[in-house]
Amino acid sequence: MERGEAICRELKKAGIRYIVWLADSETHFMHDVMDRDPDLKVIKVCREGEAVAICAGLYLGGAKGALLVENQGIFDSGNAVKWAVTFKLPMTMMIGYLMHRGMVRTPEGMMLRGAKDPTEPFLDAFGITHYLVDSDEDVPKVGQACREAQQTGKPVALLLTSADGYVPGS
Amino acid sequence: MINTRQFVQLLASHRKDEIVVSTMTGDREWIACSPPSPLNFSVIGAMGYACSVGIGLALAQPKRRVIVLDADGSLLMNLGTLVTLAVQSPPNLLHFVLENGLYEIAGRVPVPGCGLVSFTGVARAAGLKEVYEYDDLEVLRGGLPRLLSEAGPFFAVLKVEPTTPLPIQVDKSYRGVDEQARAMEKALGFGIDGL
Repeated sequence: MERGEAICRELKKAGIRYIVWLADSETHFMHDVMDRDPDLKVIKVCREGEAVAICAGLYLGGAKGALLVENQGIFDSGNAVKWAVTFKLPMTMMIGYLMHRGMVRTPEGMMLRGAKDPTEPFLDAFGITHYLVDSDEDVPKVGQACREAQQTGKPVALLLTSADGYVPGS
Repeated sequence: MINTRQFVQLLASHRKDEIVVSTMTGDREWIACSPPSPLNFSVIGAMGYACSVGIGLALAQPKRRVIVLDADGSLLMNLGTLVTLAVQSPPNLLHFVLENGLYEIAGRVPVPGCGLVSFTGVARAAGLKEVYEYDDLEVLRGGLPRLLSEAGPFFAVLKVEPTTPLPIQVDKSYRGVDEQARAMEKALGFGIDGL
């Protein structure tokens, strides 16, 4: 099973029925898989903060959704993310870890071309636990993250790296 | 021009079991004028996202009307939500935008584009079909039953007067976001299984 299909299976096992999405090159491998899956409804948004708020609305109404956006978009959604944490929103955040393949993990954190990448510190600042999904063996973390969000009442993030080697713009 | 409090009182008089998502000035007036309800949800601390929360609720609760009391300054922060609303097109969503041209809470500063922007124009250009504008409470009174009962989504701009200056007070009438969420879950009849 390809990674995208395996991730969708983990989400569905956790009861997720909606994916609130803004297209991201790092998670390009998810695009067609999500669209093809008859048990998942994809809600496209124009800005990543919308995804957080729509997930909140789905949750308030008793539905289960996860968001799928790029790390750059999460930076842009800081206020919405802050609100989700305050809300105690049990949200699964799937975040495309753009540029991860070029990063080096050091004691100071993830470095990209000599500069510290802010993805993980950004999530840490909000107290959001995050897990790296960088291989097919990491896919079970998706279900674990969904359950952790449910049990703790907090957003939990999954940092997804590319599974298809997609090059942005191609 | 419509008096915001009179609009809110009119809406409250029609309200049955609809979910009401409110933000900014509309939220303050709604909390002050309508009976407390676990189906009220105040979007505080996430300016701009009332409509988005409403979209999620409307999709999750397709048999229940969801009313959003939005504001011009808030909507300007998240105009793309109108595209999302048009695409998702939940027929049970009624989106009011209270347009007074001001950031009332931040010193009554004019919003960008005050007097230039047509929110109904933006809504139609985003693909919304049921788009209305009211500047007369009696005309709104005549149209409200339809907005509350027929298939939408409906987008209605209300040209409202600025409200009387009133400092925001964090008091017992404002519940925490998580407390509101738990109350709504209970009212809608499901547990906190989460996501």
